[in-house]
Amino acid sequence: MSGMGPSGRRANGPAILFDRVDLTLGRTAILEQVSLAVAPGAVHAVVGPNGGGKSSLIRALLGQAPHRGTIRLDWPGDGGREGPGTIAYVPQAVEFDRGLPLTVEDFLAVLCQRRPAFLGPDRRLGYGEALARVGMAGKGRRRFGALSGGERQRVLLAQALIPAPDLIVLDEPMTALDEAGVAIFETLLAELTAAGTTILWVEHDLAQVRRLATRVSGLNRRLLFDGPPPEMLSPERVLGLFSAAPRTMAGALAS
Amino acid sequence: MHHQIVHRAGAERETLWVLLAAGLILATATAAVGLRPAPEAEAALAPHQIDSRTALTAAEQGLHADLKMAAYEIAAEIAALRPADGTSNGRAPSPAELAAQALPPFAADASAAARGGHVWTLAEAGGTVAYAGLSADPGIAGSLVLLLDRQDDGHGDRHGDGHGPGIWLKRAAEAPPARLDEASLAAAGWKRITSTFTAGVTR
Repeated sequence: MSGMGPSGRRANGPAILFDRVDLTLGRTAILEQVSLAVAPGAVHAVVGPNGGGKSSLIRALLGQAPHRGTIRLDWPGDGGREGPGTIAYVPQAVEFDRGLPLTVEDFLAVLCQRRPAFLGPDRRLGYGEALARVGMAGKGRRRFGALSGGERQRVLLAQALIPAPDLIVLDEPMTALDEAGVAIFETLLAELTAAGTTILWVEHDLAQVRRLATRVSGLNRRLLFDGPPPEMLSPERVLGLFSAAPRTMAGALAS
Repeated sequence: MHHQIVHRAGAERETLWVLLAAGLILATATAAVGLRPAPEAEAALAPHQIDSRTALTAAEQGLHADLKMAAYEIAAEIAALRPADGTSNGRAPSPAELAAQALPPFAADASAAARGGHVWTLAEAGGTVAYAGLSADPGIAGSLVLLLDRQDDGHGDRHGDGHGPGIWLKRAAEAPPARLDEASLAAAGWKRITSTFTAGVTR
């Protein structure tokens, strides 16, 4: 989930450009002509109803969906000297066997290191430090299946920090977090923003989006709006976004 | 600025590479086959030759097969009749002697009559022994000449194509010319029966 490309630290995250992206699975149109630009270093939130294509947009960005149109990452740097940076991905949840005799460190080792996980965690990668950043210090030896939902979500955040990401893609990270976890998440978001990391954040908690995001896009199969959160998250727009007839509203809202 | 395009998930590029590889293999195979054709298996027959498999009548085919076997018998008999001191070669058995041994096609039996009723004569000239069979019915089987070399025990191949003794055919009730060599026979319109091996031969 993290670790795509070399782990070199750079000053700024990439810009992301979605240009007329279509995604059709079977006969179902998931995304239609989605054009969206994410600025480097932005905290860009994507909101929308369930089934609106938010997670599919992320899958397309990660190269896991048969999309049409162009998705481009513009990495800073002079002519590809450094090449693509590190992309981290935090999924909504992980499916796994709770009885699995797997510690938190093992779980991180499976996701983050090149060395086979059965040879043990690679100490140089700083799993303890990453766990400390998400408030899980000293819990590296706990069995992963025995963690609570909120703790598991924190571990998923921790794996995204190794190695330090240039782009972090978050798929509803706050769903399972408890209150303390939300505070930690906010701190983390601030740290990542300070480091210049681009953040693409799928979220349904509009209050949090309004508070933390620098830009927000409404997505329900089509892109319904895109702009700074205070203006965009007006009651009318939000009602339109989550209404049962988004297609008829789409034209009116886009104008 | 480094632009990274996110490619769509799918097997298009793998498919393309597989198709390219398949095309390359096909093109290579086609080129190899085209540039290195198998040599023409069928050797053209000379004007004085006739193919034993396709050009003979049924009676002629039988006579040809019998003559090929008889050539070995005759050669063995010549060797047996050779004087013990080895000063001269053996005498060639006459057709009457061969008929007495019931050696086809010299034996005067029902099948000889059915195959054209050939009358066999012996002609010796120099080192060559020739048995000439004059056909009574060229429509069934033409006249035949069996050419043998006295020195070669019947195994040699002074007469041609590597397939045994020389057997010549002319579809006429006509005695062979006085000189029984290949040039004279060919000049008189006789044709040598030859076996050619082509791709169609399965046995």
